[in-house]
Amino acid sequence: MVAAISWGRCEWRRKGGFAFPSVRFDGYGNVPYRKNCNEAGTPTHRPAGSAFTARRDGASKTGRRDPGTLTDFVVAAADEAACRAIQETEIIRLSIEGQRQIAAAILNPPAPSPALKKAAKRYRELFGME
Amino acid sequence: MTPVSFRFEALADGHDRAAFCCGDDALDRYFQTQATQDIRRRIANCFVIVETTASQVAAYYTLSAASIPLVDLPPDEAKRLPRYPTLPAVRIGRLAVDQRFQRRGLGELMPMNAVHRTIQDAAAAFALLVDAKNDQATAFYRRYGFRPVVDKPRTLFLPLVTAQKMHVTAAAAGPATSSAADPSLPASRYQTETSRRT
Repeated sequence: MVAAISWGRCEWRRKGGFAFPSVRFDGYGNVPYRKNCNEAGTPTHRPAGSAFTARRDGASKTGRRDPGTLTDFVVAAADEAACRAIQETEIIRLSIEGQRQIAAAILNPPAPSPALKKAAKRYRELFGME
Repeated sequence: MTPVSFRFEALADGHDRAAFCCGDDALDRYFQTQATQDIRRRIANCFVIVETTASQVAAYYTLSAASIPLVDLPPDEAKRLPRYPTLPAVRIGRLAVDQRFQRRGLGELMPMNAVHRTIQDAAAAFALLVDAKNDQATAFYRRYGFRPVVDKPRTLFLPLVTAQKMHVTAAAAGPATSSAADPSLPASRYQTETSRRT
């Protein structure tokens, strides 16, 4: 999508005789569209309530105008990925009594209750075992 | 009662989610707006009971992965566990029956379907967990042998070895409709597990 970007109004910087645009990467490592950038080419379009906006709000309170460095993006993205991984495999933390109870149930599994047997039979009759 | 037949299916685009109404707003809203997104992001799977003649969604439940760390056990107790330090489990996060199909015993069929799926699953899990919404739901699950975890009275678990026993005994006692399928993976796995334990 690089061809779709208009570079015209962004600030051009010069380094070693080579001009390059000051457009920064978005959260996915791509160069964002111009419509999501301010005059300086800094991206303004962020997912609401993300680690990045929290960081940006924190930065504006501490007096820094723009926290949008690539490092910040990487840290924010890592935060989000970690949160998602935790959500996906939910970890159920128990006290020592709870852990003992679970361990005992694995080592000596209880016999199925009458209601469970009845429900299993009904399930088999309705849907089979395949 | 009129003869109706039901079928278990994985939630797909063809199912009419908008018409579902179980009487609990949060459960309805989850099914209508969130369920497909969770499937897409692989956070939870959603299975439905479809009424076959009118192809209405009669009930749904969700399954997701969970793990229980058993890190605080003393070494002599931990040594006997099949897996340490965390145990994999499968969790029924939500379960709801549409108002039009309530009081027909569909609620008890969904945990059975979950047990069935989990036993056949490629990745083994040691227990089925449920989150009960209220005391009534807790009492419902307790009847089927789910036990509340001591610290979390609203989280109940059923060891899958117990559930496998129930399927095997049901297979022995029940009609020999699928006798050819009986010595298949779940039954044989159960037998090897019991012989290992004794």
